[in-house]
Amino acid sequence: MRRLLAVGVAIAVMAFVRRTSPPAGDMAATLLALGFTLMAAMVAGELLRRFRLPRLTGYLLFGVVVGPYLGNVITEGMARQLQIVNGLATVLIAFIAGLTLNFERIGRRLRGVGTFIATTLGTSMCGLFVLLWFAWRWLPIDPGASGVRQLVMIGLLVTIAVSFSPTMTAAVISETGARGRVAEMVLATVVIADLVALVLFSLLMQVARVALADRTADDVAVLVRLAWEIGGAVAFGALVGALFALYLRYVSREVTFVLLGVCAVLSQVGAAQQLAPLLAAMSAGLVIQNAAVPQGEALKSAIQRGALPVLVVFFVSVGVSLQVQALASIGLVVVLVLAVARLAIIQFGVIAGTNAAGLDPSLRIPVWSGLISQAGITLGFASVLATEFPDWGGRVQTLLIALIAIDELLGPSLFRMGLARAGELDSDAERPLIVVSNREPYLHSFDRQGEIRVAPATGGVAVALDALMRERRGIWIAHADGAADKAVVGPGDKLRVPPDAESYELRRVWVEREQYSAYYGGFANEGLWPLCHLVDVRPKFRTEDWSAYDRVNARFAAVVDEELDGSDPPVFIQDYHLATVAAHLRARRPSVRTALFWHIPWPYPDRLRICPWRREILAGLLANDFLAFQLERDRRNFLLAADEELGASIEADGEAVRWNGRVTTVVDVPIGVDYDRIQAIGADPLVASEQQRLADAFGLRARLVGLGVDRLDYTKGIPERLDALDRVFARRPDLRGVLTFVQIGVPSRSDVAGYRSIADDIERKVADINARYGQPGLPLPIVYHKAPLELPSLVALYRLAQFCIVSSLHDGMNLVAKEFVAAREDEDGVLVLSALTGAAQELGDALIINPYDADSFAEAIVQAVDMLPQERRRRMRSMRRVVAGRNVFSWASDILEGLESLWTRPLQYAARAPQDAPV
Amino acid sequence: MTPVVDLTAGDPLDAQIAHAAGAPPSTRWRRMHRAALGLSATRVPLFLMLAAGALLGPHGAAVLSPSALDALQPLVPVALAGLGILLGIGLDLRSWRDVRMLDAGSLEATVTMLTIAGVYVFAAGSFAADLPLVLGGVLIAVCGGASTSHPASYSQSAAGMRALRLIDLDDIVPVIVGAVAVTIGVARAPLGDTAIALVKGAGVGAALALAGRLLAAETESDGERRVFVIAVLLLVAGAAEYLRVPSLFVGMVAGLVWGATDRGERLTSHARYLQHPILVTLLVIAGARVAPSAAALWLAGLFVLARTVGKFAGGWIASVAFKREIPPIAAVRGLSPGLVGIALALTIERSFPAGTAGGLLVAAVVIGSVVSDLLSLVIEPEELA
Repeated sequence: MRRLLAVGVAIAVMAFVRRTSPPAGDMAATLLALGFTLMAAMVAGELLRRFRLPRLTGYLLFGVVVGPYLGNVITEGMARQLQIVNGLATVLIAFIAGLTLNFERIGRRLRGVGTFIATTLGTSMCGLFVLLWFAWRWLPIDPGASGVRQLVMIGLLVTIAVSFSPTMTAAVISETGARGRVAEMVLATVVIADLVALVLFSLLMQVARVALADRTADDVAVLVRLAWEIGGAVAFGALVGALFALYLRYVSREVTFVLLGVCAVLSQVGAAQQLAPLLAAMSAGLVIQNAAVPQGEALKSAIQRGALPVLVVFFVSVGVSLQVQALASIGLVVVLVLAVARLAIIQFGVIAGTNAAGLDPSLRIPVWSGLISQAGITLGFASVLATEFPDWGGRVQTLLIALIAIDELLGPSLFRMGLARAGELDSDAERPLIVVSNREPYLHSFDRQGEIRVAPATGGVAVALDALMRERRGIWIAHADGAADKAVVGPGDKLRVPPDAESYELRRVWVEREQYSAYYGGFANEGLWPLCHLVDVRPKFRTEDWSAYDRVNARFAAVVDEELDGSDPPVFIQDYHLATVAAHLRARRPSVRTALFWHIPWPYPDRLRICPWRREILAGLLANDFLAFQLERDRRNFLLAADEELGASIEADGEAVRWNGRVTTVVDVPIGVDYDRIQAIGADPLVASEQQRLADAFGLRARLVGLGVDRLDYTKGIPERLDALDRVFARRPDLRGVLTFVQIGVPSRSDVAGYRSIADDIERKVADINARYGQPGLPLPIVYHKAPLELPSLVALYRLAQFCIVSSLHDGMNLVAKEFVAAREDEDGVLVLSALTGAAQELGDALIINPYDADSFAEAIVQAVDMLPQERRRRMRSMRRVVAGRNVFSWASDILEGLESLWTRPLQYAARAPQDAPV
Repeated sequence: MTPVVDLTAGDPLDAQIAHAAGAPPSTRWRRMHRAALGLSATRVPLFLMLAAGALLGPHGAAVLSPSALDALQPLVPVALAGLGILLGIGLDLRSWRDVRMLDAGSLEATVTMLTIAGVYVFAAGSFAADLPLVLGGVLIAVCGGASTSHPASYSQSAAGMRALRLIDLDDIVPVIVGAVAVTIGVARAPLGDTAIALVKGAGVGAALALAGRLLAAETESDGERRVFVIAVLLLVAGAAEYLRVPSLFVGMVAGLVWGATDRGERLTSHARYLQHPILVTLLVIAGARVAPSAAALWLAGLFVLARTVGKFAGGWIASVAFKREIPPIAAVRGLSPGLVGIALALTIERSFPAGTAGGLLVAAVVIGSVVSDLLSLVIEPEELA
């Protein structure tokens, strides 16, 4: 509704300025037309998406409706101005098409894809040629033509008829989020087919110039011109591509402008050769993508930034130029017959292609549906033909425009249906996933009566991954930690979970106790954990711990390998416990696709050198295809370490590392909380009674309640928090008996010495503060609860507190901070947050503290207590926007989509801007 | 502390490709100073881009021939509207203290403008014979009233920070006076009609900004938001052209609305994304428009002299008027008119027929900006460090 209102405002403004001002020049009209087109087309696209139709169709329909042939909101003059953008867009599309074809990614499928394309194109062209030969006399082109003249005309028409629309294809794939063989096959086919069509068209145009235009030319001159037009364009494009790659590598300044300049050069160069710019642009893209991969990736970023508005205007402009009256002038029946014949013959070609390439016959219909659309390149061919041969070329153009109008309006919708039929749409497909973690999502144990009880994991990440697995299905592989775990598994150590709605399998991995202790308690938690956190705890590295760690990782890899069997689902590995799983797995199964999320900070290189097995850890992580960290800082530290320790090559955009013949994409994807679930819990009327229960249980009678929720871990800064509270009670006697701070401490890793001592320290400090500032009959200063709470209880507690303190000495993210914000639907409450957490990077409206500076920490607590409601609301409202906009599902989907789209990404990105809903 | 994006850093993509590391400053810092939006004069790029424009322009290699410049003409109102939006966003008035700083900045700019206009009327009127004396004085004063700081010299001191804020806020008066002067002087409209035109322009800018906000509120897609920002930019520029009101002014009103209503930065962050193309476009075109002449050099010399005196005097008066909240030499930070001055010159130049006083004005302001930039390298008081 708001969108429509906004468009209404824009229309009203346009009407107002036109009515109340004297006539303005073309420039003012063009600017208004472009602005309105962009705004309204996006809204039209969104409107159609709600009817499960592609947005592209919305852009096209919008163009048709407002164009000069129907609504005339965009007049012919304005439409001509839009064509300026089209010139740039067409070259950009060809450039993008070139950037799409990475032969390394196609890899072993290249031969099959090549056979399919060659057979499909060959069969389709032969079929169309035969059809047009026999139907020639009825076509409104040049019924009297015969012999060579007829051959050449039909050849050109056939070439144009089998050209496709890479941009449209990519945009539909991107919009629907389709993943799978059909999407990949269609994308590769349309790009390569258009490359072939470009070369063929150039060739036939040369022949046509000699044969049809009565031009005299000797054979040598024709060959030279042909060589220049095709070879020259390819060579020129390759040269531009190579120069651009060098520029990106060695200069890297003003890249956006240089890209636009390159497109302008490509579109202007060889104007006399007509189509050379498209061929040159495509070969430039091909060179960059295949000969200089890092530069290709950098360029992809540039296209990400700039292409969307250009492409929207392009599609609208295509719609504007679709002369619906052309259908009437040629005869609707003729056009429909030709359109149906084209589709039938292409379908026949697809059948032949799938047979020749030995592909699954079930792919035929879906792949065919992707070969219907025609747009920019086809229009370009038609336009060139009409310019060179105004007489019959003009009639061909009209016929083609009529055909394109039908193909363009049907194509995106049919392709979407084809993808749905192939089960490749996000909403329709089952895309099983393998999650690997140390901790299991459901733990079985015996109660006092010897009955088996099941308990879900309570952590935010575990809950989110569980929700993801419910949707995606597949297998979760985790260490079996429950006493009754063995009793409930079936064959293959598996069981179906969740217990209330079985939707995926949990595969439990058994590890011998001593080995587990050395792997988990030893290397992971006495070595890696303190190594990665900047706290005063020395990491302990023992050879036997490392050996156990690597063996357990190998064991996990073996289990993943068993579960993969013949299938190819992505594998999502969790955290620092499993750093070398991917390396072991890849040794068994080189083509597996894996992603790993490193939940904790990554140390700077000097600190990493403490670890004797750092190179093995780095190598293990670089065996993944996709590696994600919480923060840019962690990612940067990792890249430095990969460079310094392994000599790995960091690609130009800093998003990928080349090492040992492989490429790993390295990104930062900050994790979020399950915002909607926390909202739902908060909205439950039972929360009020839970609040009452907790207030009774903890004896919360104070007017002010503060809260801290942490694992009992030395990185969480709990003693520092208690020191700050000590200062608060010392300086503000009026708060004694008025303020109670509730500290929830969840026991953790109590078999590790550092954790035991921190727990003892906290207990001592709490007792000391309560002894010094507690007053008989009044609420205690500190309430300390040493047990985990379920999320509903936590939400109740979050809403009970006036402020929440997170004072970690170093923390990858800290989800308690985000949970507190998510739970405060009342927009009240103050978050006191350590600057040393990852969350502080996002929650700038918290009271940011340094936990090492006790005085300023205490001041911040006082500020939280005294803060006016208006200020509290402003800060909380701002933080809630951040937390709502980055929930745990968007985190997971960013990583998984990043992993799954590695193969088809460049063109898809071109069709949609970063992290967004697509065209 | 360095700004998140400034002209020195160039195209953000360059940094990405070159893997230029550096912790991003906080949002608050980004919003605190308009300079951090990349609008600051910078030592090398400003000069380089102006020089590149001059070299490529009709008086240089003629790659940007007069016809090519005509073809690029539609970009100018769009870039000016974009700059106006960035100026509006950068105002970011959050407290009474900010309002006081705005008052101080406006006072400083007014004194500077009066000084320049006075010097022009008495000494330079004959250089611009095509321009009415008083109008010419006002127009060149407008170009000199605004100022920008050097991102390379961001300050850690409180005095330095206040000085930065002061010169961040001294552009409003020149932009408004410029809009009035152009509308009156060029359209030869009576004051009442001028006021109506400006109110219309402001209303249109605000309405389009609100339309953008409505659209942004319903999407989580960065790509869509960016398209909406570009759409609003084009509509603002187109509407301003129709109304014959400077697009810089209409854009600034739109930016003010976004700055005030878009605390979640759903649009403003994307507006910033466009800053670099806007800067490069304006600087290169301004450079190409420079037609060197003795009159332009003399006028530039007087412009620099009058402006430098005016800035010192304005800064001192502002510091007296605002109880020494403002350091007396605060205006030193804004010795260069930088991009805003050049944008105002381009705004004025677009309103005059080619080859007349508008061209002279652009040449003088561009040359004066470069000289002022060099001057600001020399004069860097330690107390503002």
